[in-house]
Amino acid sequence: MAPFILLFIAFLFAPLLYAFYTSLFIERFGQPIFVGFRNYVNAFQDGAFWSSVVNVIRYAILQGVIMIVLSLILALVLDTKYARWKPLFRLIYFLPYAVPGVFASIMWGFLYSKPLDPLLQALHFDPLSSAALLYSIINIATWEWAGYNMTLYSASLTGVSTDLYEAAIVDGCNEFQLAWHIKLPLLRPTILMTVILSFIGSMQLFNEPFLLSALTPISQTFTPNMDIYAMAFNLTNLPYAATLAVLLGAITIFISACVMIAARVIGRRSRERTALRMSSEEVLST
Amino acid sequence: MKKLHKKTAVVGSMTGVLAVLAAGCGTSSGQTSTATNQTAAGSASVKMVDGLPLPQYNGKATLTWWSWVPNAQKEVDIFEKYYPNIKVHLVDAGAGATEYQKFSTVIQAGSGIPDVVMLEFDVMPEYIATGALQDISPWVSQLKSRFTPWTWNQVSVGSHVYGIPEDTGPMGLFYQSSLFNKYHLKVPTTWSQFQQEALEFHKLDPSKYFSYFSNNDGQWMFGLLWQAGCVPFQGSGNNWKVDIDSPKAVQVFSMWQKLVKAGAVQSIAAGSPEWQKNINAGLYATAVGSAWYDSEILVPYDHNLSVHKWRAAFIPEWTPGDTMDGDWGGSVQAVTKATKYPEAAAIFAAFINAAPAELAHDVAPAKDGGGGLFPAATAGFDIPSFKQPNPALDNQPANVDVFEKESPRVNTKFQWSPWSSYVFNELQTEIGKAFSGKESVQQALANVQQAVVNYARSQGYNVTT
Repeated sequence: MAPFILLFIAFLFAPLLYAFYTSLFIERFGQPIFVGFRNYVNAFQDGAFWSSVVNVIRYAILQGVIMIVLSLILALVLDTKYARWKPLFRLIYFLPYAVPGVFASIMWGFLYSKPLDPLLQALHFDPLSSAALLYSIINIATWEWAGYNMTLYSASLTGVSTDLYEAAIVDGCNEFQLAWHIKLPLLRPTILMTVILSFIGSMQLFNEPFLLSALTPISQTFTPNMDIYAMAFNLTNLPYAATLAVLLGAITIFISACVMIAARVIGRRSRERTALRMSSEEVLST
Repeated sequence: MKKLHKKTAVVGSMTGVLAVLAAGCGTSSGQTSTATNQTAAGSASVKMVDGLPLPQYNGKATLTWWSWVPNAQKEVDIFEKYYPNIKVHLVDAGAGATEYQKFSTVIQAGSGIPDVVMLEFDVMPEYIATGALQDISPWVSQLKSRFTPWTWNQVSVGSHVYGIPEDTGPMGLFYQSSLFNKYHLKVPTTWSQFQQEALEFHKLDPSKYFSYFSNNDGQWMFGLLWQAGCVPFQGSGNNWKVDIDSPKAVQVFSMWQKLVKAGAVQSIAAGSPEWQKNINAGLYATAVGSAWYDSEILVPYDHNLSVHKWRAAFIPEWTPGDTMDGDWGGSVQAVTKATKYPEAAAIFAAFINAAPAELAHDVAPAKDGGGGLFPAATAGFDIPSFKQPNPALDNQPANVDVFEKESPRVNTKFQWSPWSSYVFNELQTEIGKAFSGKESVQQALANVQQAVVNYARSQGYNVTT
C-alpha cells in the first residue's frame, strides 16, 4: 500500500493541490499577487468557458450513446453462434484504437477536406463547416473508440459460463432473446464503467478539435481543455488556466458521481423487480 | 519574421514529417562573410564594430539563441568573427506559436531559458508584462535612429528597451498581372475601387475569387485595421485603453463581409490544404500581403508563378490620396531576464540585426542562403541584393517599387496589447459568426471589445474604453 500512497500523493494529489494553490493568484510582471477566489468569481462569469462545458456535455451524451450502442451491437453480434472468423473481426474492429488519436485526427482531417474529396463535392457537404463540426468529431471519436469498448464487452461475455446460455436455449430462447434477456443484463457493470470512462474522456476532448483547427477556424474555447490549454500556453496565464482546470475537474467528478448513483438506484430497482417476479413465479409454480 | 509560420507549424504536422525534416536541415553553415575588421573608436566602453557603436566585450560568454529565421546559423558565424569571445548556440525551437509555447513553459519552469529569443511584435507586450524580458537600454539605446521608427516603439516602453527589431512586414496588395491584363483591370488604389472591381471580376469569371479573407488569422485581421488607421490599443504597464469596435473597424470588416457574401472573396483558413491548392491554382486574383509574402507564401505554395505573374502594388487606401499603411508580421530578437550575460546577449541581438555585414546576409533571398527578410534596420535598404528584381514577382523590384516606400507609411500610433492571443481568438470567433450571418459586424466587434475589456480587468489591468 505504501508505494501506492506515495505515487498517489506525488502524481495526483500534489498536482491537484498545486493547481488549486496557483488558482488563487494572478501574475503581474512576473510577480504572483494573491487574489483569493477572484479567479473563480471571474470564471463563473466567463461565458466562453461555460459554453465550452455545455458543448462537451452535449458531445459526451451524443457520442456516448452512439458509440456504446454501436459497440454493444458489434459485441453481441460477434458473440452469437452464427458469427464466423470472430478473432479476425475483433481485430479489425479494434484496429482504429491502435491508431494514435493524433494520427487519426490528421487522417480524418484530410478525409473531411471537401476540395480534396470528389464525393463530398458531389454531396455538397462540408464536414468541417461550423454546423457539421461537432458531428464530424463525434464520428472520429466513435471510429476510434467503438472497437475498444466492443473488446471490453466481448471480454466480459467470454467470462460468462456457457451453462447459462444452454439453459436459456433449452428454455426456448432464440439468439435475440438470449442477447436481450441474458447477455445485456450481465454486461450492466461493464456498460456502466464504459459510460463513465467515455464521459470523462469526452469532458477532456482536445486532440481532435485542436488538430482540425489547422484546417478550419475552430474557436480556442470550443472545448474546456482547449480553453485551458490556450490560457496556459498561448496567454501564459497559468493561474486562470489552473482555475478553469480545477472547475472542469469538479464538474467531471460531480457528473460522474451522479451517473454512478443513478445507475446504482436503477440497478437496485430492477433487481428488486426481478426478485419480486421470481418469488411470485415460485409462488405460482408451487 | 512572419505569421504563416504559426500555421505551417501545425500544417507541417498535417502534411507529414518532411516539413520538420526540411526545417531541421536548413541550418547547414557556410563561410561567406567578407569580414572587414573592426575600427576601434568612440568612448571607453563603446567601440565601432562593423560601423556600429556597440560596447566592448572583454569577458567570455556562451549564449543560447532560439530562432526560426532561414539560415540563422550564418548570422551566428558572422557574429562570432567580430566577437570571438561570445559563443552562440542556435536552437530551432519551432516557429511562431510553437516556439512561444516552449518559451512560456521554460519561463514557468525557471530553467532551460534561452538568452536571446525570437518573438513577433504582437507578443512583445505580453512577455514584457509577464516580466520575461530584460531591459537592454544601457547597451543599445544609441541604436534607435538606425531602425524604422515604429519598430523601436514596439520593442520599448518609455526608455526601456526589451529587444532589437529584426524585420517588418509593411502591407501591400499582390495581384496576378496575367488576370488583370486578361480582364483589363486596373490595380485598385482605394478600397472602394477594390470592392467595385471585386464584384465586377466575380461576374467576369465566377470560377475565381477576387481575393481571400484569412478567417483564422487574427494578426492579419489586425493588419487590416492597422492599415485603416485604427488604434485598438494604447497604453503601457498597468493602464490600457481598448477601442476595438471603432466605426472605422466596423467599416473595414463590413466591406469584407459584403464581398464574402457576394461570393467575390473567399473566407478561408490560410495555411489549410484547400487554401494551398487554391493559391497554386491561381484562384485568387489578389492577396492582401506584406513585404515577405512573395518569399514565404507565393514561392512555397504557387508552383505556377510564371503563368500567374504576381506583382506587388501599394495597399489600397480608405481615403483617396491618403498614404496610410499597416504592418503584418515582423519580429524581434529579445533578451531574456534569465540570461547570465545580458550585455553579451544585447550586443548579439543588436549586431545581427543592424551590422552591415549581417544585413547583407539578412536581406538576401532565403533561396540563395540568405535570411529573406525585409529589414527593420534602415541600412538594409541600401544593400544591392535588397533592390534586385524579384524573380518571384515577374522580375519586379518590389522592395524598391513598393515596400521601401510603404515602410515609412506604417502608422506609428498602432500598438499591440499584452493579450494578443486572447484578442485574436475572440476576433476570429466573432468575425466567423458575423460572416456566416449569425450577427452583424458591429455586434461582433462589440462582443470582442467587451470580452477583451473583461479579460484584461480580470487580470488586474486598469482599462478604459
